Amino acid sequence: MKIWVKFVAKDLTEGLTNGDYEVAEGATVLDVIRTCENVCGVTLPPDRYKDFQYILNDKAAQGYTPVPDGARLYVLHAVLGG
Amino acid sequence: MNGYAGKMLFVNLTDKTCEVRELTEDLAKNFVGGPSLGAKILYDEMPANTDAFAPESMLGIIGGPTNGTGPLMGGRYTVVSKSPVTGGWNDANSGGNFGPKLRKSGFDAVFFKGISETPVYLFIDNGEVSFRDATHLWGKTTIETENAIYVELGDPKVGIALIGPAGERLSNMAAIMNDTHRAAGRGGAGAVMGSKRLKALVCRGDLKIEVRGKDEVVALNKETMEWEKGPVAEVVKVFSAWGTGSLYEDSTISADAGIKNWGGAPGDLTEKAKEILSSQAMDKMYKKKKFACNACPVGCGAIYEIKDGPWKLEDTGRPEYETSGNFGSMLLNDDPESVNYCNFLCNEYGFDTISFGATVAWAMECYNTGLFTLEEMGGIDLKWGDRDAIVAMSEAICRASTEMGKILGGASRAAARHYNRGFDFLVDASGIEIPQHDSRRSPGLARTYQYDPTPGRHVKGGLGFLAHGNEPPEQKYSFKDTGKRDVDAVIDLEITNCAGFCQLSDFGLPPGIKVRYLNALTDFDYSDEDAVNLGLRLFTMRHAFNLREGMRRRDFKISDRIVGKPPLKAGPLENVTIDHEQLGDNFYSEIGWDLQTALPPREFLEKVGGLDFVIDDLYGA
Repeated sequence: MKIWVKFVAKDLTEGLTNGDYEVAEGATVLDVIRTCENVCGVTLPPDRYKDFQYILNDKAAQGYTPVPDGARLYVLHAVLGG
Repeated sequence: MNGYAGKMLFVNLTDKTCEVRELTEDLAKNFVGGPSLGAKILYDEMPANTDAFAPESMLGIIGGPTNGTGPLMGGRYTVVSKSPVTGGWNDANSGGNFGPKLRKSGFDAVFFKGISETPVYLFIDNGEVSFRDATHLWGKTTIETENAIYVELGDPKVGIALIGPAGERLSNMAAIMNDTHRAAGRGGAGAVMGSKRLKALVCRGDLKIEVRGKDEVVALNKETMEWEKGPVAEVVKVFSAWGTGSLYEDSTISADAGIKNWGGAPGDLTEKAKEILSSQAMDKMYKKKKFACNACPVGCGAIYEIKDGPWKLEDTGRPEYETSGNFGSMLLNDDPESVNYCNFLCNEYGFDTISFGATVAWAMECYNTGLFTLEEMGGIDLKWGDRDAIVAMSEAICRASTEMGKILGGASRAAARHYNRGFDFLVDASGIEIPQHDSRRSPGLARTYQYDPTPGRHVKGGLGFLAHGNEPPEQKYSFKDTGKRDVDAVIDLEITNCAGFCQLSDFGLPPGIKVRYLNALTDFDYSDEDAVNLGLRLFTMRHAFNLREGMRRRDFKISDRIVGKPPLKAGPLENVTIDHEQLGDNFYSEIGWDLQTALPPREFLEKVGGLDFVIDDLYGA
């Protein structure tokens, strides 16, 4: 299924590009991020994920939230919140 | 006395007299500087229930011990007065370079009372005070006035705190400006200055303020620099590169920012609208150079130049996040050049961009729901998102060139009262428009907005909007167990503001270092326990001014919309309602004050210390 992803936290996600990504059914938010890493050839440090907050289809989401087909996912700065 | 110039100047503008008084060790130790030193002086010197614009009303311009003495991020000064908006206590602070220049001119604080017969400015030159005619400056913009004073004094490096036409017209949104585009904006202190026909306070001097431990200050600065390169390096990098405007895109997506006068959701904004007003995007188009306040390693400011289009600007301050929110998402405006121009207008005329943009948003909602006719709008078709109409209305307010412009110049609540309509669309706390952080996303802000002695501020103590807003919903919307964290944050921020530190020191300084800086600067040796009582005393002092005015808990109001009554029907904050009174109860329970009245009990005041005069007034000697 296809997910639209936007990396708003660009300074923390350098090399990851906005756009549509193909992911498996039942993928979580973190699965989507990992897919983006694979496609773009970028590997974020494992503890980097805590620096993000996620907005999924206009709702705040946790990393493990399943992503529906055609969803819109924003990756924002959580690090600004400390 | 180490850490201080040691003198305060009291100016009577009616008879043009001045009195120099010692800043005593007791005053400095108990109230530090800035807002709470100001509250103590106004409590003592200004009669209760004085009208904000009466001759007896006082205006204070006050530094803090970090101004000009070396601590990093310690460059902010404070203005204090009774607020013409809330009828209660008002303090607001500003960065730039004015605070250190004030103190190097010989005074920690200057207090004004009386009303000058004709416009004047006060010039302090290395402790020598003179009144200067400002008749020729009255009506001039802030930049015109600054330039005229530089020429008159033959010195472009003097520090100037001044008002523009907004203050002269006694606008509730009038700021006191410095360094061209820095503003002590909120609460209407600029109007109090205007009521006194005081155009500017000008300072020059090279007084060296002695500190107890110069080497200690240097060592603490090294520690701060290590901190900024270490655990908070990413955050510092973001703010250093893009300033507060770096938050814009995040905030319009997460709904931290106000959208459509707080009645909208991120879905009301296009993708372009969310991105293009961020500093990250605007810097690529307009950035000319960086700007940093005195002694700040972060340097969150920038100067823009707009070379093309209808609103060309040669040198203008990069809009702060608050400004971009209030002229952007609040109005569904996605045009960066109109936002920059409105920011420039506010700086030129001396308006607070938060209340100004929010007032335009209020008028916009009124007009788009049919409460105002096109004729009443002065022919300005103020449709949501219409950049030309937004600029036209902003010009009308700044220049008071239409009837609607004149009325909106008094800010949103005064306009609603004038027209007797649009009350449901007001979003404020005790009459002050809400800044660009939504308390439906960060519930603790509702307590700060409603119950801080200066309501409606995001720069006052409390749970805040960054870490708190990112908490899981089940935690932040439980409205439980917030009291201790809330009070602890208040204690910390009171010390921040009174010392003269910037609020970005929340992340820019290592935890616990502020009191160590104070101990290196002064002779006071605050212990950890002292620091807790100090923070509580500073907060209580500001609150005591309101109590003396007869204000009690019931007098502190917050608009229904910003606490989700009724809740939004779309977006990340859908169906969220904030139990703001429970948050208030949690705070007052933790601090030990009366839940019904917000009166601090005698035992609390005795424990905190230094507030015997408040005990006498509340409970008798």
